[in-house]
Amino acid sequence: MQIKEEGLEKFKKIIYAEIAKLFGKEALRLIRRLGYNIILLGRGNNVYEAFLVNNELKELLSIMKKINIQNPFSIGLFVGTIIENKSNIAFKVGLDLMEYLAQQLRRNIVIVSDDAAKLFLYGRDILLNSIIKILPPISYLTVIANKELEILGIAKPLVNLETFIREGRRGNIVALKNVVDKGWYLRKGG
Amino acid sequence: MINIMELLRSISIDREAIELSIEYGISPYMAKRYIELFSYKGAISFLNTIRLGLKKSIRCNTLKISCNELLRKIKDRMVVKQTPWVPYGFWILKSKVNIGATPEYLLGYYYIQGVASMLPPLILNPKPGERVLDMCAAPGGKTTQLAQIMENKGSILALDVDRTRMRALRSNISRLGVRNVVTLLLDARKIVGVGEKFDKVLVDAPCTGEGLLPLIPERGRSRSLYDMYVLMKLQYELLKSAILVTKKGGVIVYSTCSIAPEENEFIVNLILKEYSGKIELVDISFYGEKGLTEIYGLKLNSELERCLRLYPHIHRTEGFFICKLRKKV
Ligand SMILES: C[S@@+](CC[C@H](N)C(=O)[O-])C[C@H]1O[C@@H](n2cnc3c(N)ncnc32)[C@H](O)[C@@H]1O
Repeated sequence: MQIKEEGLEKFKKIIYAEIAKLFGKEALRLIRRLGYNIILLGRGNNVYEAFLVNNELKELLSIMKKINIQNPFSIGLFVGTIIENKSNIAFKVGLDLMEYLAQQLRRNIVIVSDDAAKLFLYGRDILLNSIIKILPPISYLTVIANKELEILGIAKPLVNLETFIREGRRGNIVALKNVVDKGWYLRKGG
Repeated sequence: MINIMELLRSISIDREAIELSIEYGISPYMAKRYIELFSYKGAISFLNTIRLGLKKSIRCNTLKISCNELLRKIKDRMVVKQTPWVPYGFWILKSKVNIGATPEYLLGYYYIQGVASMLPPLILNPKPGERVLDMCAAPGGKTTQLAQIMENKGSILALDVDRTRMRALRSNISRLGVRNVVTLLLDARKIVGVGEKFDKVLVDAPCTGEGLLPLIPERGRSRSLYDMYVLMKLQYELLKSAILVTKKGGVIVYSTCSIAPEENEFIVNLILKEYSGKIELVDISFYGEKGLTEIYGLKLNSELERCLRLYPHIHRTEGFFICKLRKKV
């Protein structure tokens, strides 16, 4: 993996815009306040992985650059994956960043029942009836947590959750589709 | 190094060694070395412990949870006991569940780690904000513990040569919520060009793994004297590289999960000779035995007694060797 420097600004803009969509401008302020910077590592075939790095890690990278070693496997906090096609640039946010921002900002979180939490860790979706509470605003991707606010993964809302909850609607319909859950650490990642 | 090999070859295999090797299914030369190291009775006690295995242990990940909170969460499924040396280390005395598949494991609240293997990071003791090098890092038990001690501040460069193990390292970093690590697939001997840049360096060297025999008994037969020679050369070169990239006044911890003097005292002895006056050994005051200063009839540097040895049959941990070196200013 090679550190991408050319055209980085264009990618950074897209990543920051997505983060703002998911967690609001507050998230960008938090990232700035912590002194985090975005770094991209090329994975070949126009695929890049984005990471947030602190100043100390940036310093470490510049030391390694001096001996021409510029191909880390990972750095700091994983942000997500960028795929560049001829026509567009797609960004897929990663669980590590979603967890970090949800914990810091306490928003964009759906809290589910114990049973649903267990099943979610096995890759299952979330039913409307399993939702206990939401911490709005909920975005196009949201974080799933259990009653103790422990973060279990990311899901994609299939209905307008804020309206459904406000109106007290119930039902056994699938309300959120599992995108990634921490059971992954056992299934693939361990 | 060649002389050491000749010395080892010259150790004659006697009847006691052959009997032990048959009884315990290990190679005769290993049996003979254990007798040299522990006496005949000690070797039997060591080999019996290997048959029985060791208690598993976990390291509570204080980057994500307080240990009290973790204990509260697991108390209905596991009986644990705090280790005397590592405040966030716990033996699992009983468990109703597979400890590698609980929700708390998935949430990154703990790492399954041998108690002895929790000591090298503790002894290196990096401060938040320092720059640390972990030369043989994967799958990351010690890297993530270093990050825990550093409270996710400062930076850690984690190197390894094995791509599959590197993936596991990355997965562990993510699961445990570590944010101050750069992982790099690199032969750690190639890092020397950067110069004296690191405050602290950990060399958790690849080894024959004799200390892990209670966990992986097959290793008793599979390793030859030649394997040991190849590893000794690598261990020596890794430790030498560590010295070259450590700042003056900086600290290096050399550790292996082997109890073989060849991979431990012999390596540090060579380094002390080569860097005489530039490197000193720092006393490790922990539970355990002192490093060896004489073995196989060979006298070694007397400073080596400042190192630490842990044995399965005496300390109920994996077999381990740890040495702390300081680069003089
Ligand atoms: C004892 S294990 C490390 C365990 C690790 N420190 C932990 O706590 O999880 C030794 C590691 O050294 C790696 N290794 C072997 N030769 C190496 C080299 N030349 N440079 C860097 N790493 C090396 C192996 O791939 C192996 O992962």
